[in-house]
Amino acid sequence: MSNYLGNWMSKISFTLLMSAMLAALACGGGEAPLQTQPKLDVTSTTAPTKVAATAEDRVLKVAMTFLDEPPDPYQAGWLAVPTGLTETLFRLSESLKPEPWLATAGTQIDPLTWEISLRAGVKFHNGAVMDAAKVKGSLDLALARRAGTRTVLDIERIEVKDPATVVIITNSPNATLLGLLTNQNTAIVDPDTVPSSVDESASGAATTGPYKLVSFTADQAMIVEAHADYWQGPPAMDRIEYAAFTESNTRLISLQSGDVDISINLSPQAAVTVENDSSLELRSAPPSGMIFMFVNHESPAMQDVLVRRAVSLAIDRQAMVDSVAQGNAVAAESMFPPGFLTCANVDGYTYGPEAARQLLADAGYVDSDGDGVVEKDGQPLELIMQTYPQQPLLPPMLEVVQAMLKDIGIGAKVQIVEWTLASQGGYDLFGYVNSTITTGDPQWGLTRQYLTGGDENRGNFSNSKVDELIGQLSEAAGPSKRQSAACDALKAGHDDIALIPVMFPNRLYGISKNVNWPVGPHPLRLYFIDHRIGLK
Amino acid sequence: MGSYLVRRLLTLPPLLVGISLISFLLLNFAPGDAAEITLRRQNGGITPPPEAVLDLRQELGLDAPLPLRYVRWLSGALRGDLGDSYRSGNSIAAELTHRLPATLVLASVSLALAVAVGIPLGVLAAMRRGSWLDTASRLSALLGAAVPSFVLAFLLMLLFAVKLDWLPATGYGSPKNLVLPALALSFGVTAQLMRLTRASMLEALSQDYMRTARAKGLREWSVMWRHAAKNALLPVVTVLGTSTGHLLGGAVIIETIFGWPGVGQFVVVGISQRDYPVVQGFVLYIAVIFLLVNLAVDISYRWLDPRLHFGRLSG
Repeated sequence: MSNYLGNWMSKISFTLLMSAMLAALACGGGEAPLQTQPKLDVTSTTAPTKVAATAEDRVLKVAMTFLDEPPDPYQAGWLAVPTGLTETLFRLSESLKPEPWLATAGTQIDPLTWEISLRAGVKFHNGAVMDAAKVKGSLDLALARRAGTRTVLDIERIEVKDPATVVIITNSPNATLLGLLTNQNTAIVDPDTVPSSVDESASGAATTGPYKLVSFTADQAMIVEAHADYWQGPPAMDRIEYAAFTESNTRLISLQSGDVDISINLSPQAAVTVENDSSLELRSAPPSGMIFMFVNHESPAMQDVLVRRAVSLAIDRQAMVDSVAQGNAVAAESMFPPGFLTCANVDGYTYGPEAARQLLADAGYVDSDGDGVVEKDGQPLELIMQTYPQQPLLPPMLEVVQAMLKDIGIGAKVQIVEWTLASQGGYDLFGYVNSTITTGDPQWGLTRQYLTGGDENRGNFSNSKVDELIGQLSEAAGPSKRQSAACDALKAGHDDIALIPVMFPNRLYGISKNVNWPVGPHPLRLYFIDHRIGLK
Repeated sequence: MGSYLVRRLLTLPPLLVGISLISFLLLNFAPGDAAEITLRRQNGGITPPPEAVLDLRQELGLDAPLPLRYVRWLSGALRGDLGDSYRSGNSIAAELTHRLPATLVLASVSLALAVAVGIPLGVLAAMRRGSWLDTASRLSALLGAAVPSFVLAFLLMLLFAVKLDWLPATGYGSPKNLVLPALALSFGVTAQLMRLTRASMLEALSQDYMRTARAKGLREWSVMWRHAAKNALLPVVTVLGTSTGHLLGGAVIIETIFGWPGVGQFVVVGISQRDYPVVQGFVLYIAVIFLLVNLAVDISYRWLDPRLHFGRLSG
């Protein structure tokens, strides 16, 4: 019996063996090195989270949403600054104003010239000392290696005045240069460690942050270790290990199970779970990113400003905050979060269904057939609303907007599509997420969103008065003049409903009670890991 | 045997061309612009100027007519060159070779688990028809068919990693890390095998030769294993072949949930970023494996049941 059964079992396992053979075949080439990434050997039996760690190491583990590109300071700087690898000359404070970081001061000598004083005692990860020549070399490379950086900074040339001072000459007057130098892709790198070919990644170059890169495996893991000579003192941890979990629920469960100490970008639902768990703590960053709807200004229905105003009035933003974001957001009364730009001349967007119905009637829309949807010239007012699924708040938001529009007599269809379609028309409203405060100056957001041809003006809004006012803002100098000019430009686009802001969501972090995070989350996701964060 | 094998191997190239052509067309007809997505990512989210998008389309060959692009891709694939990722610039073949072993380990262990649990339980359920074991196995089969693997994955994580703290929820490297993903992935296939084995066994048990075997005075275990199980397990082997494809496909989702370092996240991100060469390369890779495993299963019929001949099989 046993022989017979054994014979059968061996036959049945034939298919399994075939699978194993295929696996072995594939494993045969499994260690082929890839071109640009310092990486872990994923085929090894050693867990990435344990590579070269010793029992004495103080290790912090962090669940990230994405680790999709190597932390090349010139390309994917959004990863390099938040993880403590790189630093810029200036950074944005908690109140979103530029403040010195690797610089100690910035002075505008004349409309085209800025003088930047550099911090003494800063060392790169390779031990080299940061001086004006290194900073000039680094900024020159930043301009050479990425077109976006050249466009944003609009720098004509950089000069070394003395070992502790660089001079930056811009192509046109630029009162906001210090804010632009907070851009992650202007992080200071030892230029002598950057590959000469622009096609080669600079992720292995020496930078100045409290941690230096050990390994990076795209979409999986990144390990950094302490930079002992860090200019603000030794980092709190020996090593930080990042793991990528695109699934929001996985980030929550990995925190609950103790696999990680910090999980970023929790969903509002996950935040409730964290709040109810005594071993965990919820940290909420003040809102910065804006959830809004692009208006397609080429769509016949949306070209009527009365319809645009009616749509805006139909949205109960506070209800949206309470239901969709479960209270973890702030209603958006304009394109800037509360406190960023205070304008007495701008009336915040409010909820007013009665006023919305009246506006539709004023625009000639009447529900003549009694089906609940208004018509004009026999055509029902039915909008196409699109959004993309990667931001989890967007699809439910559009469903709620659909119900709110229905309440004032506007029909709407919701379509889930790719985010790039926001630039390609085919919709009336497009749910989207963007930051309007990245540089700490309102000119950034106004230019990108309101200006004709602005790089984030995906709905093709165009208003000559708005363009003129943004032009005046770019030339305005001095805080009060700039605020006044910014408010004028904001009001012009705001009243014309260039886009429809809905809410500013809080960025939610779940942390273990063992984590010591003395300064809490910064309003911008750009600033996350510093030399102080660690384990108790 | 030899001529059958040659005939079957000759069917593989047209099948692979067909599969790659369909996936190529589906990808290209989906909305979204690979050049714009690539440039926006490179420029930190800033919308690229239209001329830059046009330049990149030209550079990537996306401005060429669709048939020409397919032919270019196919000729590269025939030389073993699956192209470079738009996202990372790395060779797709190297990326897949680097990541596929982890996927194959997960799929193989899941398949082994499904066979080790599903077949014996199916046999036992048929032998003890109507017992609590039979009821429990049928209920499990129903659950396995009804519960999606990603739901089960989160339930397993909550139970074994959060509540009981027996196993890690995520990670890679130790056998412990493999347990939950393999359980989540194998559950559906286990249930399918269990249900099929039970049904096949019950059918075999009702055959005349079973009565004859019992009339000869053979012991019950001998009747079950030597006469019933032998005939009942042939269709199970067929299902094993198709299950391999399901496991490899399902592994993409399970890997994304557990952070398993296989091809899952690579492909999922590739799809969302319109990284055409990545998705094309993955489809081809998986298609080759799927077809080879099915070929192996067909060949195994002859081995499992000497009454069958390859000529009849091929017909």
